[in-house]
Amino acid sequence: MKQGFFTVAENRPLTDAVYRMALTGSTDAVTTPGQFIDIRLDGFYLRRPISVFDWDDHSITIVYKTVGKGTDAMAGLLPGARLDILTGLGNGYNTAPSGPNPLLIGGGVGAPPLYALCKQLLAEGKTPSVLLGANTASEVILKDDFETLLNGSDGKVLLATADGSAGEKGFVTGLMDRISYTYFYACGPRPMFEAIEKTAVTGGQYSFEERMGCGFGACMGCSVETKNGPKRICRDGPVLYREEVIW
Amino acid sequence: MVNTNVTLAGVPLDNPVIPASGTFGFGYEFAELYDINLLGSIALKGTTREARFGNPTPRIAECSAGLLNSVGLQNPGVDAVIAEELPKLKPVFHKPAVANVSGFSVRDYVETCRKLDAEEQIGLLEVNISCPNVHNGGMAFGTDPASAANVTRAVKAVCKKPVFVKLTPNVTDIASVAKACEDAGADGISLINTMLGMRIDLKTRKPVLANTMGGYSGPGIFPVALRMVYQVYEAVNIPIIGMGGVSDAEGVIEMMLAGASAVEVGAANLPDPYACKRIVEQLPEVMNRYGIPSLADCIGGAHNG
Repeated sequence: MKQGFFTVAENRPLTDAVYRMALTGSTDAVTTPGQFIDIRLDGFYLRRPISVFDWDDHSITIVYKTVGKGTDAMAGLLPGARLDILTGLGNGYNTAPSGPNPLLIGGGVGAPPLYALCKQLLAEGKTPSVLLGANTASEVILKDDFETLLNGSDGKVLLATADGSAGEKGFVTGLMDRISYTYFYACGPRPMFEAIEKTAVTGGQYSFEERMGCGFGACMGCSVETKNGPKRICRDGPVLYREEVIW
Repeated sequence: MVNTNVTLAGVPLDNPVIPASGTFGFGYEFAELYDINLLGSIALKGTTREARFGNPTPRIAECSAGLLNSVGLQNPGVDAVIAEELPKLKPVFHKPAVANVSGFSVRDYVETCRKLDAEEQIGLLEVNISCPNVHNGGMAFGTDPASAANVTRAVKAVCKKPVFVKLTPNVTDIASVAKACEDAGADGISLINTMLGMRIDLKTRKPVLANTMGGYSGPGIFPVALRMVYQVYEAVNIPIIGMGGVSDAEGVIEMMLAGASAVEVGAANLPDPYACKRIVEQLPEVMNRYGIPSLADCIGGAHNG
């Protein structure tokens, strides 16, 4: 973990409620896809934990949804704004057990951290495929980004919407049997995890979300019970292995 | 040169700043960020006789000037604290630490305190009879002077080290509870624990916290905490650790003028992991600004006579 100041370089809407923000600053504490950052905002006591979409040597990009006053305030930030941010938080995904054909499953605004993961898996010579789920066509995010990333690879990007307005009608779990996969990585709402749990035929990792106090393991505010004892989502997570989750 | 030394029931501290229990884990996580030996001491995560997971999530809710928590004393139990947590703290913190103890019966408090009292790394015990987030224990002991005295007496009988009793603000007369603890042999009083509060989510129309209510901490409670430290200072002759919404060096000095011999910093550690370091480093400058050569001399300075 590291505290530092970042400058907003870009902050633009992708849909009515989802924004993409690029932040420039020191990124050496960010080591693994699936980690998150914790952003301090004027007028709010607690920081806002947001997963990392992508990063390089001098910038971090996040894709976030406005769900309350804090994220609304983020959406109003203009390029040039300075932010106090904790970086390199959480464990991130472990790519070691992925096998050659990992499946990445993103529900709604759960898709962003899978982007950096997808990049890393490709760099490791693996062939990831991506399933994206959304309620309706206007809420689909990052499909083009994943397609560009997987261009030239044998990996596929498949889409499902609950109302059938884009891609397949139904839920992402309905697409899982279209792909032959060796492992899965999922990020999204808990009902999606529960559906995956009934459908998946391999090992996998889930990235959880929980209300946090500190974001770095001090307050125990975000703990969950697991088969391996209590885990702090902020520090021992946010990624938990399929076999340790208690549903 | 200013002097920040204070003494807590015979335990000398380089400065009065102590991260509060429940906001600093068992301390070692923060050693990755800075040298935690610059702190006066550390109040360790509240420890119970058996391991506890605590309450269901969500157990954090934000407020305009702080947060509510309903963690409910998550900890691995006193035996694991001694076997696993204290050894991790030992290489990175070389001062006496404050053990914070909770229980659900007098026997729980006695057993847990007895074990921690025997640990070389522990300098004093803080007996939490004020947790608002557990049933059949915690705060129930701290809202009744007779129960508070019973716990104090029983713990004092098995401890060699100073025993501070941590009080709840959720009472009508905190001074009478403090006095009962003093009469029962307490070496000091810690106050305040969190104030019972709640938030409701307008979308779901349900409480934000799974446990409905939680403890409010942060800058919003500072004036209440300060008032209670002031009242308790008038009622007892034992040292006070003041806490509640302190987030800067000025707040530390204000607490000391109200009567605190040392000051715990809690909620401020959550949005800013460097809060305690910043406060310790600010102290000399703020002391100079207000003409305070020695912090110990300003304890209780706001009282008449």
